[in-house]
Amino acid sequence: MTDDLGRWADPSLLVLASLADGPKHGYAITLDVAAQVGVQLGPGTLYGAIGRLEERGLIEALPPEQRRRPYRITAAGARELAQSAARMRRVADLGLARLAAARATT
Amino acid sequence: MTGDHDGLTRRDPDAAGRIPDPVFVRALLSLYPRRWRARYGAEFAALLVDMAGPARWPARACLIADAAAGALDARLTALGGSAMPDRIRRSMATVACAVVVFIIAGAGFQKMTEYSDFRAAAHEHAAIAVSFNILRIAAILAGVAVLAGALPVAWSAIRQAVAARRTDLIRPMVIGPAAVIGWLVIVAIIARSVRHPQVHSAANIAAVAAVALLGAAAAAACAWSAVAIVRRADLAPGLLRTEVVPMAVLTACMAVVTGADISWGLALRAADGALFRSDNGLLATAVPPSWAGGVIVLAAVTAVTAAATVRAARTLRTPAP
Repeated sequence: MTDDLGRWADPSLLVLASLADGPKHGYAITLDVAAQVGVQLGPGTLYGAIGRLEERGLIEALPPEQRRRPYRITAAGARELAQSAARMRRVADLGLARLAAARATT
Repeated sequence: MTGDHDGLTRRDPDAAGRIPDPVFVRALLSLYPRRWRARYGAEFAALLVDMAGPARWPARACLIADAAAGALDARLTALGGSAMPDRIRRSMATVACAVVVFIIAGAGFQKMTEYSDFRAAAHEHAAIAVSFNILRIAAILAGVAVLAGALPVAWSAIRQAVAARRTDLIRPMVIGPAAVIGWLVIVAIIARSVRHPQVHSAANIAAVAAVALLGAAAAAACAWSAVAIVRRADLAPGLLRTEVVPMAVLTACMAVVTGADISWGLALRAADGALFRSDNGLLATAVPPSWAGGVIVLAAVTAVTAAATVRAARTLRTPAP
């Protein structure tokens, strides 16, 4: 379902959400996103998002563990995630409320 | 993590005992730009091996297609490193730092020459006056070139920051000016409160040291702000290309300023040796070290700016992506 929603399934937001509870490396992010949201992030998509997020200072790389490198969300990344999530929640609340109202009138 | 589970090829350990990445991983990595591979290659290869392990063929085909699409994306974005915009951004960031140092050196020259003795020498000796006036005109033109290059970038960055609430752009836009304003306020407070009659008194030295240290911090904040904005803002390739023109003008102006500063010092030494050897330099020190130090700094930032401008100009031969 989320795959069909385009910007709602924005890989960058999924990565930020995955890192919100602690640092993870790439494979752990894909497993977490698949388990929690049902979206399978491909490797190219994931690292495209990681590169952009890192360039904008929203996540930062930690020292590598063997070849896997964990990433951590920054304070700016947490603020960005909070703003985006709040916006999505308002849209979700609006949609659910109006659907409920429409059902009640029919 | 590096077990032979790709099913595509048999892999034997190398001389160091490590099992090399599967052929498909190496092939996919080779699609990415060199700089991208240097930064992400090892962890990306590990991810591909991890993801390919449990995947069956339909899923693995999707994985390979996604990784190949990611390579195209990496080559099209600035992170790919080979694109013209990325190179010009690096040159712009270098020039921005050089401009900050140039302004500090220029302020030092202005501070030193504001004493009445230097003005009187300029009135009496045409060679000193000509050098001084050329320096000032070139410095003003350099300022115009900086504004011509900076304003379009600033305008573009401000629009993005407001439209998309880009906190990563808003932060440097606020920090740089705030650092300068804060420094000016502190300088004003120190200038009012510390007025010891002896130039080299402990109170004056402490005040000057505080002003200098805080000024260096403010300059560093300004340089960081400029570099952050140049690196983070989404700037059109056309805009980046035009940035080479003000950079070239700025380089020429910096070279003239440096030459005029050298000429000014030599003219002063020839025309008024006593003033040249006096203690009217920066912080009431000898003039020759103050003058020579300024010349060295100006020459260095001019060389750095020229090198960055040449690098940027060379990238104009590269077609825009």
